[in-house]
Amino acid sequence: MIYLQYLIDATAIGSLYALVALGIGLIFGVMRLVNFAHGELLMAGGYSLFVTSEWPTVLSILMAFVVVVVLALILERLAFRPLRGASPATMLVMTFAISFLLRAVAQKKWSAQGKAVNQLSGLNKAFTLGSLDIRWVTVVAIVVSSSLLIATQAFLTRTNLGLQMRAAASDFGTAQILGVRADRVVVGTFVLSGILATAAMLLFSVQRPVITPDWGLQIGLVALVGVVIGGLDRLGPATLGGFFVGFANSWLANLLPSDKRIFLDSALYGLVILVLLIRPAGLFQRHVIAERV
Amino acid sequence: MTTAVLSVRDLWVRYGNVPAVRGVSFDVFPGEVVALLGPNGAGKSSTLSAIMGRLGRQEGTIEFQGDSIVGLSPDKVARRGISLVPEGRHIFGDLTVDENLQLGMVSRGSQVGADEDLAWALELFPVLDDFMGRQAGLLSGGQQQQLAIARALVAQPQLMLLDEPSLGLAPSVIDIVFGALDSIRGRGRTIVIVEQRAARTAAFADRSFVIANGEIRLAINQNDEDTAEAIAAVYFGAEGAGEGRVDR
Repeated sequence: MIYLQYLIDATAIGSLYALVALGIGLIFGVMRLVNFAHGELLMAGGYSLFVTSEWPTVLSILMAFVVVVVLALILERLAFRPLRGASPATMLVMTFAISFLLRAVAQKKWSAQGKAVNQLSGLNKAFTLGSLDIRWVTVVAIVVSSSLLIATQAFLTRTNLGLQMRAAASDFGTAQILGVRADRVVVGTFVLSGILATAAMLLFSVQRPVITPDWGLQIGLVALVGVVIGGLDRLGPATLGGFFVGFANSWLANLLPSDKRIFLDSALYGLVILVLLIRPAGLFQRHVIAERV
Repeated sequence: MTTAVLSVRDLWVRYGNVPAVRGVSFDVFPGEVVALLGPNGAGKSSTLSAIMGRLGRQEGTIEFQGDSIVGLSPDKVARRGISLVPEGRHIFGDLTVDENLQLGMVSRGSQVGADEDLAWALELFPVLDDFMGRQAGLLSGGQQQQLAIARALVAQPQLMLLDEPSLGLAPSVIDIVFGALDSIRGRGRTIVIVEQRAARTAAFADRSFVIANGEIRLAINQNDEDTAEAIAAVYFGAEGAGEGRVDR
């Protein structure tokens, strides 16, 4: 029964990482940009919760969405747009710089000491189901994440902007000669990615209520690893990869006896190395169908 | 005299210091089919890329319906009413045939008549109608070429540019492509077609320009007789020893 408990916990954590991974995957797809600074969007959202902690909860949450999306758009406009078409290495280094800069700014403003947020702490309450103690946050995390994944999928396949985003992700140059506006597609991608990041941030803040400058880095890094093991250039595998790494992270943490927890990261990243050695194109990558002759 | 749909004047395109197009000028009038012929590397595709705004840098003037389109980004050029069928087709392999065609409609000024244009494109290329829900990457090369032309057609272009549409196709598919182009011309659409294979395209086009080394060497009309030798001379002149030029 305890394993069922672990399974539920791991599924919840995995689904949150899936949201973060999907955001990273979207931006990579359209921009060919590995956004190392994606976690800093979550961090900014966390501090937004802290700053607005006196506000009514709903407004505070809405404000977090606004802060994250606006920050994502500012980064796009000031840092990524001028580099569009630059080499992937250049863009990657730019995202490193942004990540360090944002964390340094956060540290200057709010110090390295953590700031507690409690907007959604009510979700820490548990209900019992048979012999299981299930915290509300796990249920909410699973429901919210799967809804958002389905909604994103519907947006990408059913709307015209979504279709244009998929076309741009597949072949930006050809999308442009068909009349697709590059800026619109890129802005749409960053907005969507920011919304997903905020949703994940809100639910992570229940389990990790102490916001530090490195708060987002830890989450972003794990999600980024998930995206790479899943397969960087397809959204489905990238999202699954995020889920997988989050799931494994939580599962291992529960499984390891508490005095062995310090080996969690070594075990996890050992697994990552193994996966990359065996399947360098990604764990969930099908063999690519012959196309683009 | 009617105004030209497209007017290219003294166009120069350079990649680094190497000129690919050297002072090309030509006009295309409404309802005309104009061919740019020439051997590989002659500068034909670069000319189309320059018109489409895909090159960062070029010299000369390009006017479309009387307005300069130099410096416009490709998506703006597309929305002005120029559709390019790119060399190598460049269909979206992981999207369905239907989605590819929807993307073709992005640049339309108005959705009025979109359904009719789609129906017409499917009438020209019936095989697409059978595969609407299929991933485009699973189509054969010939089917992909038909999709690329249909995708350009549903944009309701004032001017259609085709870059090597018969490259790598089986003869039966080439017949389908030229048959469709003939129908498109029949509706008064204006077409510029770039081809390496001279004979069939020259017979099809109203006017042809034969390009070598980035320059127009020969202009011929559809009803000119005995052009084959003159065309061959340009091709061989370009391929053979001449002018201390680098083979590319």
